[in-house]
Amino acid sequence: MNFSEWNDWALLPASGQWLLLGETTILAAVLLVLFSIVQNARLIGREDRMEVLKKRSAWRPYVFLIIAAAVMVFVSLWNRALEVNHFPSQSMGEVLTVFCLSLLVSQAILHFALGLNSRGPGWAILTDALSFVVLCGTLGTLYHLSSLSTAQRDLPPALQSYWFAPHIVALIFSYATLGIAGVLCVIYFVTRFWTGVFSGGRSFASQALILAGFLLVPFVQVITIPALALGGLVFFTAKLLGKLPTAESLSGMEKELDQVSFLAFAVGIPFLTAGLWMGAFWAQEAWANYWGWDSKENSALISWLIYVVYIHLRLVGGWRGEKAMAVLMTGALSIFFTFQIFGYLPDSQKSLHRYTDPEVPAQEGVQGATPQDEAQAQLEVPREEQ
Amino acid sequence: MSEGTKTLHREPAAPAEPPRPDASTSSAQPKHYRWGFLSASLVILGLMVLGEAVGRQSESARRMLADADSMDWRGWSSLIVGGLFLVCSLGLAVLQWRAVRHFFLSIKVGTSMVAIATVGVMAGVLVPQIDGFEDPEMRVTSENYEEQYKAFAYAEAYFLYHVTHLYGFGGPIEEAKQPPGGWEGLSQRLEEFGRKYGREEQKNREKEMHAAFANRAKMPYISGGKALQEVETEDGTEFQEVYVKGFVNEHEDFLRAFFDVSTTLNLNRAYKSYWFKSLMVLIAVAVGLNFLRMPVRKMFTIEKAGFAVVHLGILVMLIGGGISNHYTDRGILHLDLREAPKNTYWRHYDRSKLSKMPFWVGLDLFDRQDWRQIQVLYRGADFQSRPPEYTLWPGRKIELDYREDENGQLKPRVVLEVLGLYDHARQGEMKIREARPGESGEGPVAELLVPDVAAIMQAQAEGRRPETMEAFHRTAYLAPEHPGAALLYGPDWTYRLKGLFTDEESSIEELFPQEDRIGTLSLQMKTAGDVQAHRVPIRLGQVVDAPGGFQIEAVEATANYQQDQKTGGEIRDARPLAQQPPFAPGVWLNITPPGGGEVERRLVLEHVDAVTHGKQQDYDYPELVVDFEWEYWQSAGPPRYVLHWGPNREPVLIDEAGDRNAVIDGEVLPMSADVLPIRVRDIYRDSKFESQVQFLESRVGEDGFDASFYSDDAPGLELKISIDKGPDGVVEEVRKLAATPGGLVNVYRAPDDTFDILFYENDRTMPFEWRSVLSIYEEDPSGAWTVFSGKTGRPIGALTEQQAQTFERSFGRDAVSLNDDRDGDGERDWAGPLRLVDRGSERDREIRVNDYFTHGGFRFFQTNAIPEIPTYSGIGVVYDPGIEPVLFGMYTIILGTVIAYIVRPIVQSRRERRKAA
Repeated sequence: MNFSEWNDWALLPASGQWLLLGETTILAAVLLVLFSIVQNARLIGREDRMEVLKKRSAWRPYVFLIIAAAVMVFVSLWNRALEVNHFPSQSMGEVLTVFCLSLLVSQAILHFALGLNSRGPGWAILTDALSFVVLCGTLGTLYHLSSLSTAQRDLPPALQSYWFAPHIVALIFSYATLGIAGVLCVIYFVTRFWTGVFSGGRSFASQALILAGFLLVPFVQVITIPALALGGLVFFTAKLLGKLPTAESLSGMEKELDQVSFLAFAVGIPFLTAGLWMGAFWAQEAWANYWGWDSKENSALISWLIYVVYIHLRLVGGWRGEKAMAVLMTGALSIFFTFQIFGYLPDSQKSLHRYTDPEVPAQEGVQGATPQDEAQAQLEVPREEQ
Repeated sequence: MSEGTKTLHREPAAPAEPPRPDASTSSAQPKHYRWGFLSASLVILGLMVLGEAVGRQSESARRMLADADSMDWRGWSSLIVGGLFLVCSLGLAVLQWRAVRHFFLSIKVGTSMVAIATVGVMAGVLVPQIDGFEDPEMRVTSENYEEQYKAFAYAEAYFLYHVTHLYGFGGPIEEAKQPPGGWEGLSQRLEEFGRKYGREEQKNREKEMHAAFANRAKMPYISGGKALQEVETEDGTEFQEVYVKGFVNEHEDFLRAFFDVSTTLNLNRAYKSYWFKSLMVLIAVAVGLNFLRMPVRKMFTIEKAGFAVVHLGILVMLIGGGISNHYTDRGILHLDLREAPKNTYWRHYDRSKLSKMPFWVGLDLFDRQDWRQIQVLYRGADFQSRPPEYTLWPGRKIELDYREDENGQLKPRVVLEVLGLYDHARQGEMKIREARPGESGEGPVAELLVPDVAAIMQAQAEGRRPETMEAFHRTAYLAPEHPGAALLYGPDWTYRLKGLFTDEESSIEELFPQEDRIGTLSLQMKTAGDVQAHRVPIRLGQVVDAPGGFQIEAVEATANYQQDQKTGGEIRDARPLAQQPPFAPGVWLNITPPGGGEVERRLVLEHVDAVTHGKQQDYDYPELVVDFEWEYWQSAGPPRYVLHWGPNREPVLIDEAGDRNAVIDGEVLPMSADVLPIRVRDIYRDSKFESQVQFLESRVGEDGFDASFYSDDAPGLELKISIDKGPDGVVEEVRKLAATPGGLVNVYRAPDDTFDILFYENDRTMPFEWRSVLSIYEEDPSGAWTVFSGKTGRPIGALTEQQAQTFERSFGRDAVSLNDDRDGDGERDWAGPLRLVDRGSERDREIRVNDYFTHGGFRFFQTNAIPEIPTYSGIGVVYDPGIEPVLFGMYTIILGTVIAYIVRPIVQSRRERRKAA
């Protein structure tokens, strides 16, 4: 996000103009969400709160803006496709734009799928808070995106396949949805941690595990530590105001978070599966190798396996609450690593999935030695051996 | 069980819960052990260890049996004991089948298996896998230990370094964040650049610089791990390796121990280890038993169908994976347009492992198509930065040269629009005339008839004598004002002729500098945030300072780099450098890192971009990017002449002795007697020419086969140029260009002389695509040897019986290249005891990167190419009967997911509605 670009409006390509419009709309949506939170907070304690909420449409004003922003980002991507003459997922900037669109679409779908607005002011605030977090996350992503180059890159032969767009879109959409499920887990554990700190009623082991997880898991601290700090601030303020919730009073919300995160997961997992499978279909067409144990493939497989464990534990083992949320959060963590931290993994440097790195040449499915070595070695084979 | 089980509510649509074996406490059934996660995991790990041990023992048993004759009693007894152990274990499993079945049916066991599989895959991600781990036979041996350790240590250190230096804190390159001259001066230069090429281009260059200076760019040059840091020690200043390489040096003991443990436990070939395979087998058994325990009737109920189909899919996928694991053979087949077909490929890309196919594969066609691009070069602009290259496609618009309008708004003065791109462009007769008074010309041009050396040599070879001079001459243009057309030299490298147009007279020293420069190096230090390359002239033996403190010495050079087709090594041109024609210039550099250290010897070729061809990361100092441009004028070489249009635009030919000779239309240029005569057809002082370019239709067959892809014709471009002339309005022009270097029709000159547009195929970077057309041959049952055309691969005759016998004795029953061209199509033919198999049209037999061809269970796909050997095509070969079952399994899982997530909720809600009604 870089609103100074408004000064250069006329010089921006159409994709840049639409993205800027989208960013501004998201900012407006954030303001409306804050307004909605205040509006819902004022209902707390009122006797007619349920009637007011039931009369109210799920189409909150900010929802219109979320949908409008999604449309604008989509139009931006459409224009980008025309500007670069291929599906725009060749650079990290393009992939993150697809990710932002997925976040907005996922949030719009979840808003209606959850239908929490009419269940009470607390639930309505929760819905608003989720929108707030997702919209801020989208703005943060766009801010990061504005520092990345938008230079056009030609599509290497390996990416010239009809699988390119669906494979990427399915995975990025699943990242967004499962990322939202992960955000819900963060809210869950932050709430749980600070309730324990301020009101007690939590075991020491549980508190220590949450704290250690939030502070020590590398790279993801950029999300967990600010979330923990923000949660602390909210609880501290509540304490000053004398409205500190107890562990019992929050148990209903915790159950709801568990349920809501499962719904977000249920939307995302088919897309993650489809994205992985489509990658396999593509790989067997390009390299006759549906699974190459490539570092990126494996990272994605780890996420999928964690979710397989989660679904079995939840549906068959009956797991709910803290343990189920911990598994779900581990899945989101794995997604984060796959999507953004992959470049630091040991074998990432020889991965065939490094197309979005700006300076990395596309390896044309070269498996084994480099072409030059191949040719040299080939030509050294004595005639009789052949 | 978790506390949440009591508070279940509002369960979403999902596969229904199958009966839990743990909870089954029917009195009729015997009581079984209740498996917990810990106990289940311990047993699974135990079985994996057992699997690993059995796998290793069976490997050594196979080796022993292969050499059974020399086996002693100890060997036989260990084999017998091992066999007995296996039989007893299997017997025990059969006898305790109920307990075994109960184990596999437990949900906690199943979940533990998936969780352990997750950890197993994670181990493979966090522990670097050995090079070539895809090859099941690859192991760490005493021969490759050091090589494998180095790769392992670097990869692991790369990961650990970043984990211990989160977000770049404590990283090595924190000081070097200022560009030379600071940001202020740079911003100004970038602003000027942006005015010419657009704000987007300017911003991108700025962003790339900031990213590089902030050490955020994750590129191999930084990850080359060679970053050095100046450290003050007691002995003065020293350079120490930091970053990844420094981490490797500092923690060598730990990394070596880690590597040894990983090798012992097979963690560094995790996915090919027996423990991993054992786990996959356990999961397959668990999924299979869970699937089979369900009554068949239940499988067809809407509640259970999704669950059943998904698990069936997983089972089939795992079985397919097992088949792949056991039967797959993978490798690379090296084909060359000039060679006979082959039936042998390198298994797992290893030349010491050859696999034979039951048929031969020939290469009929192979080519690459490069991206078609333009560059816009502003005349008089002095940008250090390389101008952007624009890839073209029909409809693309490019806005350039921004100027402020009357309202102070920046607007593009020039707009280019691609109206069409063509595969075949033909340059017709060039119509050149003098510009009329008041008309803006395109500068001086000399239209010359130069000897066509290739045609002369062909005629000599065929014993023909020239009847007219024109028959062995071609038209060439010398145009000093046109990019790429200001210098002429013959392929026989007997002269160099430069066109020059100046308003002032030049001295002989200026016209013919005696510098013996071999070329210019473009140096870029990625870790120092360089976006623009530093251009440095270079001579042989000269040492130049490069960014980042490197020193570069040009130790050897060649103007004619060639690769030996037999050894893959270089063919040294025996002639002195000055006599080598500049067909493929290259230079060998000694690169010394700052503060001394290991010197890297690097070959840099003019026509090969090391970055885009993936060679850069293999260099010792990959952070230093070096490009090379040959100096065609100032290098040592044949005599030089300048065709000079002076202030009065009267052309004269100046030689290196300073002699000036008038140039007359129709006469031969007065050059040395060694030079084949060059005749002047026409001389123009200020030319105006029409580029006669014709576009031909692409040759695409009814079956979609694009023959144009394999054509050598230059591509064509139809470009609309709109120039805003302010008060005079917008002037539009449509120009046809052809990417023929030196032919004048590859350049557009703006009428106001402010810029040139250069159209070309970019052969330095990764191409648009490679394609090959294959033919299949099988052994001829009659045993006869057939001769096949080297060009078409079709039969053209037969060997005599005697010839066939000689060939068979020398080469066996294999395809053999002949030394002669029997059908006279210009290519050597080949012979073999083979017959052509009809595998359809050329399109059917064509392969691309994403489009394979199958024959006899083998798949062939385009995988490699070598820029230096344009006739070579690297074909990936895979025999894998597991692909189909795995794909079937995957599709089945998708079907099951659809049933569970979409069909079931719909059916159930309908049922509920019906019930309610």
